[in-house]
Amino acid sequence: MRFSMGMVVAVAVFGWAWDASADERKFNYSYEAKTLPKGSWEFEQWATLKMEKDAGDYNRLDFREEFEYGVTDKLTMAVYLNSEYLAVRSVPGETDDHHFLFESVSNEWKYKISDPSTDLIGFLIYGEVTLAHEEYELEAKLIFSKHVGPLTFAYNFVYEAELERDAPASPEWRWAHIIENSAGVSVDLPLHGVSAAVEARSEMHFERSLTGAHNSAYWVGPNVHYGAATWWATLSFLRQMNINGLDFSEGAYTKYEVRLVFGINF
Amino acid sequence: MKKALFVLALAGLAGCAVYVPEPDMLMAGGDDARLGDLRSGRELYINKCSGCHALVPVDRYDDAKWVSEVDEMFKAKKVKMSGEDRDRLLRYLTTANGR
Repeated sequence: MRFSMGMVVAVAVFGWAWDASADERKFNYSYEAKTLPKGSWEFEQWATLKMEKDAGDYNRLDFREEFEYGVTDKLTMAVYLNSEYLAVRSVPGETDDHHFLFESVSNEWKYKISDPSTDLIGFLIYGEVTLAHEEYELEAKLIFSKHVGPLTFAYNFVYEAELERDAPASPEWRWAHIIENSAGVSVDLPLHGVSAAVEARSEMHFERSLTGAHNSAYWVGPNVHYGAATWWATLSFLRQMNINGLDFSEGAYTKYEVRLVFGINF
Repeated sequence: MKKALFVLALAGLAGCAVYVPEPDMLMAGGDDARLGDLRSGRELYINKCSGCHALVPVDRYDDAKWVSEVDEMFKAKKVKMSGEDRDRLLRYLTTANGR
């Protein structure tokens, strides 16, 4: 009886919604192993709201404008403009602040090794350089994804090295290292162009060296994605999980995150 | 036991690949030049289409439907390729669909 019910569910899940829909990103926190076709352009607007720490008022809104271009069918290049709005009041360990500033410029390269539809698993390698005022970042990702009928799976392993000035006007520079894991499972719904997903990510922040002390935090939450003929949008909500207690030690570690990414192809 | 389950999972994953068959001599009717043309068409389908959306199994549509689907992509300017590549892509799709 249980076996029969499982078969019915499997047929129902895999029988619907195989239709390809025009989309780029089904996940906001994990990349899929996809690149733009040669000569194609895409513009993406990101807005990420990070809010709430253990006390006080903390709200940070990160904006990113991304311009992406298919150099070849397997190699995509992008340039990002990153800016930040921050409002902090009475948060322990943080200085009260209220500002909007243009933060940094990033350059990203993605190369697809295998395809998530036709190969055993889709695999893509990713590299990014970010230049900011008195801070440099180098990021590398290993990106895996797979399409199975209406389901899309993605997993990213991320390593980031940051070099920043120890303090304003200080001659000393220091390293920080970040290791991140992110994953997601998306399902195409029987509504044209709509899919829903669960996303999760973990981040470990090491000061100075990878063998030293580190902070870590974990987030999970749902998203919804819509893909139209020439544009798409994905809205995600993440909540920090209480694994070994909630962690607010890093500026970017908050209780909640909401991210909206809108993309248009041309 | 764990090894057997892992191998089974890999086999399952491989079986879940979308149906985009690799052309062979049978599909090409024994013609070497046609085989090369069909293989190029398959590469075009994978490289030009999967960047924007999950690939449709090639046996999903008949010839007329494939022509209208590809033309729709051109009309909406969602794909950039030469007329020659378009024809090569369609030759693959309308041969590999087995209809």
